[in-house]
Amino acid sequence: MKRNNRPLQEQIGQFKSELGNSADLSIRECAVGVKQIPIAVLWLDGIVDTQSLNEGVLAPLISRTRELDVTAHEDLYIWLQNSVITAKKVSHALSIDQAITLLLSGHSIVVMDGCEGSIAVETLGIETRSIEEPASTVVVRGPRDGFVESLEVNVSLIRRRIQNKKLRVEAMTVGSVTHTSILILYLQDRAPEETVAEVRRRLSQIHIDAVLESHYIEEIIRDNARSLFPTVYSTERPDDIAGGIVEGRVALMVNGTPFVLLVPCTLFHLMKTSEDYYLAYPVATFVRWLRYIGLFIALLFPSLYVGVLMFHPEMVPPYLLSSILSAREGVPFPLLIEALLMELTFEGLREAGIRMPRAVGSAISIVGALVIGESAVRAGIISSPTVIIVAGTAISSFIIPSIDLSGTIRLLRFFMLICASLFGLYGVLFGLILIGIHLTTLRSFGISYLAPIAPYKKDEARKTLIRVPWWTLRTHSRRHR
Amino acid sequence: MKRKISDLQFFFIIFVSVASLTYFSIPTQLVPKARQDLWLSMAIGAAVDIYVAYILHWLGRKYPGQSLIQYSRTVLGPIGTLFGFIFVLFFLIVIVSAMWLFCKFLSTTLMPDTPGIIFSATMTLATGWAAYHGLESIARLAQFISVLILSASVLLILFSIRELNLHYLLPPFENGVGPAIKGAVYPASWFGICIVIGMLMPHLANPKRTFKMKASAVLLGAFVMTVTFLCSMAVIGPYMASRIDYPIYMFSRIIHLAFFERFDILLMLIYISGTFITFSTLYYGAAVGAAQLFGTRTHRNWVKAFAIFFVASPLLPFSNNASYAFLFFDKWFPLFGLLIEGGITTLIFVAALAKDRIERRR
Repeated sequence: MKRNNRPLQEQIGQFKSELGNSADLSIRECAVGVKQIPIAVLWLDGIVDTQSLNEGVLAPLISRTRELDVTAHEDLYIWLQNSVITAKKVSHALSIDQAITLLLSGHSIVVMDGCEGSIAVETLGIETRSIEEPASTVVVRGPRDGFVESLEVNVSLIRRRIQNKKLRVEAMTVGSVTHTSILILYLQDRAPEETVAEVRRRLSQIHIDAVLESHYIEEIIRDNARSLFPTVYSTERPDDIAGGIVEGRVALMVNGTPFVLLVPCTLFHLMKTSEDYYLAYPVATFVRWLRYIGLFIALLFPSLYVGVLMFHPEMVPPYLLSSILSAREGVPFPLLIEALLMELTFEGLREAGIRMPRAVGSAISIVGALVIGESAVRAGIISSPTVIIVAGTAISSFIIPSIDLSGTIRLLRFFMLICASLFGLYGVLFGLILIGIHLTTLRSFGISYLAPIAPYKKDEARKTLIRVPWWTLRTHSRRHR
Repeated sequence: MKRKISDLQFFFIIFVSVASLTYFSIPTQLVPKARQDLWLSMAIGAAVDIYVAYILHWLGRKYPGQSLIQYSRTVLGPIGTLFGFIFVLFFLIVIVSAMWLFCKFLSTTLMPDTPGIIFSATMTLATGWAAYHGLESIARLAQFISVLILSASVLLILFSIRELNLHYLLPPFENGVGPAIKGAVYPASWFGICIVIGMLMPHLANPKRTFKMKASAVLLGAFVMTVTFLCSMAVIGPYMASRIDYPIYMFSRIIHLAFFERFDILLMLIYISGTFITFSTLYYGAAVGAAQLFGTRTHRNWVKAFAIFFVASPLLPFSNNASYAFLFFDKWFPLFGLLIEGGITTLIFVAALAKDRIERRR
């Protein structure tokens, strides 16, 4: 803090020019002490909390120093920092670049006439959404809070659930333009050190200008970038993330999005929900199996329908076959085209339903149900068995708890449909084997994607296939005793 | 490729291979010869295979980390290299002939209008991709498929109980023990394909238990399939069974499973997935063997190179000449198969044993 005789106005001007005379830069000039040393406080409107700015910075600077006889000597910054400013977090910034970085992240900067450097006071106060029930995953029983866009609130939601000194929170900044903060959360001793190191390594290698949502990160850090299958878990539910952290997985929070990532993630992680653990275990096991069946129906139902009817009609019981064939009488399209048409219609309806304003939503369902379903069948353009198949597929695809996985299955359904139309059931098997080979080669942060079934690990496989009641599990604390 | 496969995965690969080979490749020759006594043939075949497995286990333990191709060279020098070449060639011939059988089977039963090359091309694509990714992928898929095969076979047997006519299986040894013993060459030669374990052993996490796993897998596979054979014979009768090409397939056509009119297609699909495991294991063995033989760094280029042979297998010149094909599968294949699987391995074993003795005396 050498005296450089730079007048206050010059320093303020430097800040202004660095920010390009930004309209939201606020400057409050004032004088400190009996000698009336000119100082200025700078902040960006909107991202600082007015109350803490007033009570923690401006009020003490002006009113408390009124009687004090101080000179603008070199230690004045330290003195202000230690004895005057009452805000909770104060740091001393040496260069103007550091000061601007802090200014942009919600700090207020105090500069003084004729002194090098500045003080940065943390007064961050971005408006955040209140904690609400997450819209993407709804539970019947279970906690109803969801992550929000603020990192601090999100960490607090985890801290509330895991009150343990071993919970580690590491910060990182990614994005050459956006400077987005990312937090790595894990439980030391539970999370394997290699996994944490691997997460750190991959995050540090990210070179991207902007990170606006956690999917940016997900796409870059995942293994097998070309695979359709998601190898990173994402959710809005804090209980889900807390459960994952307790299991020894690593969570990644990205500033500005309520979707938190969890790695490693296997296929079977994607088929679990946190609600499994809030329901009675027989019911939860039943629901879990229902999901596995739903997965296969969502993937295979249309292709089995097309494959069996086109290539192996003898497999169908005669009565069923005759009723299907009579329903299809007069339908102008081949079976494959009919099925594809209906599948695409459904996908279109679904996409339209998501983007629709809520008030128009009922119109979509009327058009979908009445016009396309009822009238198309009445007019003989589409056969009702096909509608039934597509409807069954649609319901099954909603059973899959992960949105990412459900999207993958929707895409692969078309692949299977084409395989089935070419080679019948043999084609379905061929497609399944190809998908199977692909799945066996996938890994997520050192864990194979089909673990713990293949490679088989007895205890974990049991926990995956059935929801094991808690009283049969010996808790970790008991084991360590 | 550095990753190892577990005992259980190894067990499943062998089990699936034995079961699917028995479904597709053996019945045409074996059933007419041995008829209701085929259990003896299967037992002898399994015994021969277990003997070979013991030799390979011993050799694999003696030369840890080396594959069949590598230690045959270590033991016998240039002759061993020749043997290694024969092994790779044998694997290729086995895949081509099994692929030929597979395509013929599918184009006669499942989809008569589809040319065989479609089946060979799709199968080669799938197996080649699996072999390209290495043993770990194959082993993991084998885990899923073996559960399917085992449960399907058990279901088939259970649902056939109502229709069994056990007197069809009598009398035992109608024409003496001879036919059953002679018939044993078919299961022995086809099961013997499992010499590919010589290629897998360096990848086992726990090579000590190779023999135990391999023997129990072969026994389980042979047992399940023998029971299935006997059931099929007890349902359709040994006379019919020996007249038709695919008795298990015919048998499964007769059985009704709950509301499924035709269980046969489902069963066939399950066994096709088993064949996929067999082919890809052999494919992997052949490619790795070739890579070791010629000192190539990776087996992946060999996977690509071999693909053309397998795709072309239904177009082989003899494929439309039934008598030629019959002769090949009836005489030549068992003969050469046994010579290579039993003969050459025994030779290497004896040589290694002798070498071991000499070294110990020093």
